[in-house]
Amino acid sequence: MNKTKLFMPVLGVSLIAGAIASGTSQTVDAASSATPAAVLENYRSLAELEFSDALAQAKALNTAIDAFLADPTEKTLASAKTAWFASRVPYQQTEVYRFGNAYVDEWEGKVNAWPLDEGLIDYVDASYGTESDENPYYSANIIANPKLTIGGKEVDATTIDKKLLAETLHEIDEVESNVATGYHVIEFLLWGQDLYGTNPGAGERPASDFSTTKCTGGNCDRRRDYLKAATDLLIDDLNDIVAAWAPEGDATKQLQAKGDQGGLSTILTGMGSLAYGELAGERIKLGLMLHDPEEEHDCFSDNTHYSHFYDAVGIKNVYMGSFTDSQGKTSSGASLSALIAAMNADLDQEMKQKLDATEAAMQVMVDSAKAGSPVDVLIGEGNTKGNQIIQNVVDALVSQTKTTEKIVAALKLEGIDVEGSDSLDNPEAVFN
Amino acid sequence: MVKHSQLVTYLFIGLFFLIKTSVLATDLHAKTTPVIPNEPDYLNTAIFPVGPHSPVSTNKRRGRRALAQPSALLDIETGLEFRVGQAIFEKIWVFAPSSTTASDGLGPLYNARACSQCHINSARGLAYNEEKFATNTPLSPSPALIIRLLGSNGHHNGDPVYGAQIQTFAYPGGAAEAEISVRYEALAKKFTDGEVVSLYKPSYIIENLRYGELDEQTTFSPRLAPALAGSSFLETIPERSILEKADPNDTNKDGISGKVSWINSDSNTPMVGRFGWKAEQISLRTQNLVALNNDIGISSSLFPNHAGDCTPAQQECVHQPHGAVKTLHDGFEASETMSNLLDLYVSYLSIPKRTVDAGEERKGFKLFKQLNCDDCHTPSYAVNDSKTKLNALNNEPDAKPTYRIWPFTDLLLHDMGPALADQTFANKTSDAKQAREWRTPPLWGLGLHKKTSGAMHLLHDGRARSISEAILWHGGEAKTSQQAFMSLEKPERQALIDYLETL
Repeated sequence: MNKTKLFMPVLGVSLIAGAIASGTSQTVDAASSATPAAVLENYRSLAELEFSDALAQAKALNTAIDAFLADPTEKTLASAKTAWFASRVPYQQTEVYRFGNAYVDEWEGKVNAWPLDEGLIDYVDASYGTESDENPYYSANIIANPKLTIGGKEVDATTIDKKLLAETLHEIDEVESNVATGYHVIEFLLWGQDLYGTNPGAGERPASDFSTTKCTGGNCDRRRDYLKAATDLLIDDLNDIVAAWAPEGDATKQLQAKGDQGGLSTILTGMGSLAYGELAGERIKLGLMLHDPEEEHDCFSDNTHYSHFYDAVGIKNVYMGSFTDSQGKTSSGASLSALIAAMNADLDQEMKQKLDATEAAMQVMVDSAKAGSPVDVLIGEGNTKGNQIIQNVVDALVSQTKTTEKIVAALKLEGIDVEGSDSLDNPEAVFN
Repeated sequence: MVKHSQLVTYLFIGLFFLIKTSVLATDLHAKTTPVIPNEPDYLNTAIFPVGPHSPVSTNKRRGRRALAQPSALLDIETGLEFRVGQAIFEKIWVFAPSSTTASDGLGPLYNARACSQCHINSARGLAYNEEKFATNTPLSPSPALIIRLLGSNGHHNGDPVYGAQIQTFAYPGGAAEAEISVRYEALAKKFTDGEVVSLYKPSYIIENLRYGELDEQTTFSPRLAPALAGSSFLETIPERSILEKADPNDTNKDGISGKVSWINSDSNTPMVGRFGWKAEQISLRTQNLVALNNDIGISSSLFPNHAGDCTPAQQECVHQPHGAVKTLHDGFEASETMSNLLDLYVSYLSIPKRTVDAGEERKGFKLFKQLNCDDCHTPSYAVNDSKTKLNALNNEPDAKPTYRIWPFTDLLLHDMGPALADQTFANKTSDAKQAREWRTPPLWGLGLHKKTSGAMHLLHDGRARSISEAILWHGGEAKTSQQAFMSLEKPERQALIDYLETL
C-alpha cells in the first residue's frame, strides 16, 4: 500500500546493526543516581519502550499483510516479509525480559513459541511425514480441514478467527509444538517450509497461495483468514504486554514485589540465562554440534542470525540501561553498568568489553548470512569455517556469562537456592 | 520455548553454585590430599558425616529435577555440553526418512521415543501410570518397564526371533511384537508386632505375539528404567574394592555369596559388569548405547545395527528405511558426537548433598548395620578424582584414592530368592541360577524418587510401592535381614526407613 512506510523499518535494521558493529555504546551519565531502585525503574521503563516498539512494528507488519492480501503478488509478499523481518528486531531485544520475569515467560508462549509442527496449520512436504506418536494433530492441516475429528474429539474450524487460534488450536491436546499463534506462525504462512536443509535457501511459498482468483496450495480463502487472524492476535498480545509494563502494570508489580536485591537478581538472571543456557546452549551449540538445521530458530525465513544478534543486543540494553528503537531514537537512564562502575570500575569495564566482543562475534555471523551463508549453512557438517564462526559466538557468550557471574557475586546476590518444586515452576520465586 | 526456559534458568542458577562449590571442593581437596580417611566410625564419631561429600555432589536437593543436576566438577564450558547432552536425552526421535536427519532412525521396533520418556526427569521410571493403580486388574505398563528376553540359562542372549526384548511399538504399517499387561495381587504380610501390610505380586501377561512363538527355552525378565544420577562414579570404584567383597562360594559362611558379574570385553579380558539390573554392562557408555539401540532403535558406533533389536527372522523390519547416511553423522543414526554428548550428560548427573540431623542419622545407620544391610549395600568407597576425565581412573591400581563416595552397593550379584526371579512364559519361576540373581542396586538418591518421578516404584520391575515393601521382598541371601526387619518394633522400622529416605 505504502512502500515508503514498509521500507522504513528495514533502514532501521541496518542502522542499529551498524551502530553496534562499530562498538559505540551510550555513555550513561548517571553514576551518582544509579541506585538499585533507579536501575530497576529504568529497567521497567525500557521494557515498556521495547515492547511498544515491537507493537509498532507488528502494526506495520499488519499494514503490509493487508496490502499483500488486497493484491497478492510476489512484490507485495516480499514487502510483507520485509515487514516481518523488521518486526523481529525490537521483539528479539525484549527476550531478555522473559528470563527471570515469570509474567513475561508465561505470556511469551503465545507470541514466540517454537519449534512448531507446521502440519497442524497448512500443507507440508511429503518428507514431513504424516503422523507423530507425540502429537495427534501433527498433520491436522486446519487450513484444508474446516471440520476434523481426532482421537474422538471434533474440532470445528469452520470459521478461522482469533478465538479459534488462541483458544482451540494453540497447544491443542497440551502438545507444546502445536503452535497456532505468534511470529513463527506468521513466518510459516509467509515463507512456507524451508526444504533446503543445510544448503542455502529459505521457504519458497508462492504469493498465489493467498490468491482469490488463481489459488495454489488449495483453500486460499482459509489461508488468508488464518494469516489475518494470526497477525491481529499478535497485536492484541503485544498490547497486553505493553500494558503489563506500565508503571502500574502487572509485570511491573511482580518485579517490584521482589524488592531491590530481588529485582537486581531478576535482571541478572535474564542476562545470564538468555546468554548461556538458552542462546549459547539450546539455540546455538545444540544445532552446531548436531549439524541439525531443525534446531535453527527462525527456520522458515532463515533469519536466525538476526534473531540471535538482537537477543544479544537486548542483553546489552539491559546492562547499559539504554535502548535504541526502530526509528533510531535512543532512550537511556540509570543503568546496572553505572551501579557496578561505582563499586568496581574494572568489573564494569570487563562486562562492557565482553558485551562488545559478543556483538562482534555475532556481527561476523550476520555478515556471513548476508553474504549468502545463513546459520543453517554455517552449522553444516564439514563446514569447518562456518562452524568456527558459530563456535566463536558460543565462546563469546560463555565468556560474557562468566563476567555476569562476577557481577552477581559483586552485588552479593548470593544465598540463591532452588527450594522445592514451586520454584521450578516459578522462576521468579527463586531469588526470594 | 516455554518448556526450555525453566531448565535454562536453573542451569544458569546452578552455575552460581558450581562456581562456589568448585572452589570449596578444591579447598577441601587441597587440605585432605593425600590423607583420605578410612570409612568413618559412624557409631562413635561425634560429628557425623552427611555425605555424599566430594565432587559427586550437587548442591540442590529438592524439586522434580533433583536427580538431573550436574556434578560440582562441571565447569562453565562443559556445562554447555551438559545442556546439549540433556537436549539429546530429551530428543524425540522420528522415523526415517525425514527432513531432520539428525533426529531420524526411530525403531523400526521400539519401546520409547526418547530417553526421557522412561527416565522421568532423568531419574527412575514408573512401572505403570500411578493414577491407574489397582489390584486384580490388568494394567498397561509404562514404556519404562521393559520385558527382557533371556535364554534358559538365564543369560542375556535373547530370543532367536524377538531379540533382546519385546518392543511394544512398531514402524507405520508394522506390527509391534506383543502387547503386555501386568496384574497385581495383594499379599498380606504381618510384622512381628502384628501390623499387617500389603505387597503386590505382579503377573505379566504377554499377548498377541505377532512374530510367531517364542523359543521354548526363552525366559523373561521385566526391568524398570533406573535412576541415573551418580552412575559414572560407580565406574570410579577400583576393581579390587569390588573383588575383595566377592565370596561366590560363601567361604565365610555368612549366608551371603556375592558374585562378580564377569563380562567378556572386546579385548577378551573379562571385565567386571557394573551396570544394569544384573550387572550385564561393563561401562556406562555401553549401557547408554545399548539402551539407545534396543529401546529406541538408534544405531551408534558401539551398536551399529540400524534396525535396532530386529533379528534376521524379522525380515520386513530389517528392511525398513533407517536414519543412517554414509556421509553424515559418522554413518550411524547417532553420530559419535551425539553418543559422546549423551555420555557426558549422564556421566555428570550427580547425587545431591544431604542435610540430616546427626542424631537421627546415627540411629538409622545403626539399624542399617544391625540388620546387616551393609553386607551388600556397601556404604562407601575411597575413589580417585579426576577433574578432566570422570571415568579415566577406573581400575588404575596405582592411582591414589582422593575422595569418598557413598553409593551403598557392592556391585555384586546376589541370589534374592524365588519371588523376585525371572520367569518362564508358563509363568513359572525360571530354574536357572542366574534367574534369582540381581546386582545390589545403589541406594543413593533413594529418598528423592517420589519427588523426581511422582511415585516410588522400587526393585527391578517397580513392584514395591515403598521402601518398606522393597525390603519385605528381599529373599534368598537377604532373607535373614528381611526377617530381622520384620521383627523390629514399629518406631525402629520407621527410623530405618527415615534414614534410607535421607540418602
